[in-house]
Amino acid sequence: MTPFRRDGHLTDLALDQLLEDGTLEGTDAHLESCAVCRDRLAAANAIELPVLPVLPFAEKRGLPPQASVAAQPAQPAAANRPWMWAALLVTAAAAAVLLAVAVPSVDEPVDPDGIRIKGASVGLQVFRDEGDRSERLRSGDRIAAGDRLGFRVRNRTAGHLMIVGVDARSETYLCYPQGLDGASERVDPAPVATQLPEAIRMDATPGSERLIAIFCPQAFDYDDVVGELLDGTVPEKCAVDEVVLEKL
Amino acid sequence: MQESPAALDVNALYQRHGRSVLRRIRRFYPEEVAMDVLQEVFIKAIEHAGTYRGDAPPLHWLYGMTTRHCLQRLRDEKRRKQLLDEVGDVPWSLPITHDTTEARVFLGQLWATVDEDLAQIGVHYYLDGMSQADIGELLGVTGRTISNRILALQQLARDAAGGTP
Repeated sequence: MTPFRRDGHLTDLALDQLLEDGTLEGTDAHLESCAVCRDRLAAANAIELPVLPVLPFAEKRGLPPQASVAAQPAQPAAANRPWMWAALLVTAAAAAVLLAVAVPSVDEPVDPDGIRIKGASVGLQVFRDEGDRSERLRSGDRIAAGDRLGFRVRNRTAGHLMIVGVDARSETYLCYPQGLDGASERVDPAPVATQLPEAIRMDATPGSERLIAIFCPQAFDYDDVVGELLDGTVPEKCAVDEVVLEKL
Repeated sequence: MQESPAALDVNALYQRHGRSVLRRIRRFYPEEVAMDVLQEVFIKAIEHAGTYRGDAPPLHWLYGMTTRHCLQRLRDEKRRKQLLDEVGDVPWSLPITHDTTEARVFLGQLWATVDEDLAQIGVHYYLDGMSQADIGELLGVTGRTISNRILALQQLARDAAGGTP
């Protein structure tokens, strides 16, 4: 499906895809040249949408809908019609829906009370620099020693960003920003994924290579977060996104 | 936003695409109604999950389903005559145009009287400005089928307008 309307502007659906994924093939050149669509994208990103109430089922991944019901009662304060969520719950239990299809997983953090943290999200894209072109890498893709990797990051709100790598030996290293002080960098909102000015080159350690973007409302240092990342937890009030590559 | 495949449950659909669905709903409904409609759409998503064939992004499937649900809901609200008469333009969409007789007739009254499939095709064509091929892809039918249905819609519009070309 093309991202364009018959009149040459981007479709509403394409704008939604851009806001969800931060990038959409074939749209970069149009956005650069079309102020109308840039304004539309900014308007779509800026519109004040309510925090989505949490669906009262399947909050914890891997639990069947029925199993998570008790842990996640409906939240009347968040919904206009609480009865509707109850109907949803019943329907969900009856349907027992778990579609076995491949999709990107959720990038929005959920706090311990089950309420999504509005706007606190980050999306990381990794690209392999191949001279005159770059190739987007997704989790599971293979890389080699010497590969030069660049990053694009999308964040709905202003905040502080850092990208950290973890190799197969659980050694951590700073990917971005590469300042000697190990401090995060303040970034403005970027509804469309934005290219970062620094890249990294892969060493020869084979195995799984985790690249993790950490996005926090407050400034932080490398030493503040690496321990939690190694433990597989998310620093408090922060959002993370991760791409895991396989180095041969 | 991990890129690795994961099992898709409705909760994941909702978390990932809920805002896009809500934006689509706001194309048809004012803010104060949109959250109710959002809930209804995800009930439908559960009920009709089996219709997702996996050959297109889930957002496309939800987008079509949301459009159809909004149209059905609007058609049930018999007080409405003009599609979008209470919402008007939203800042992330291009302004509604009535610059052809067909568009004017469709958006005015015809959308409420033709069958639901044709109403949805008309919305994607006249309101969203999508190409026939893209509408076909969104709805899982051939572009030729969409072409034929739009021809039929154009004829209905001309008839409704009293033969005005």
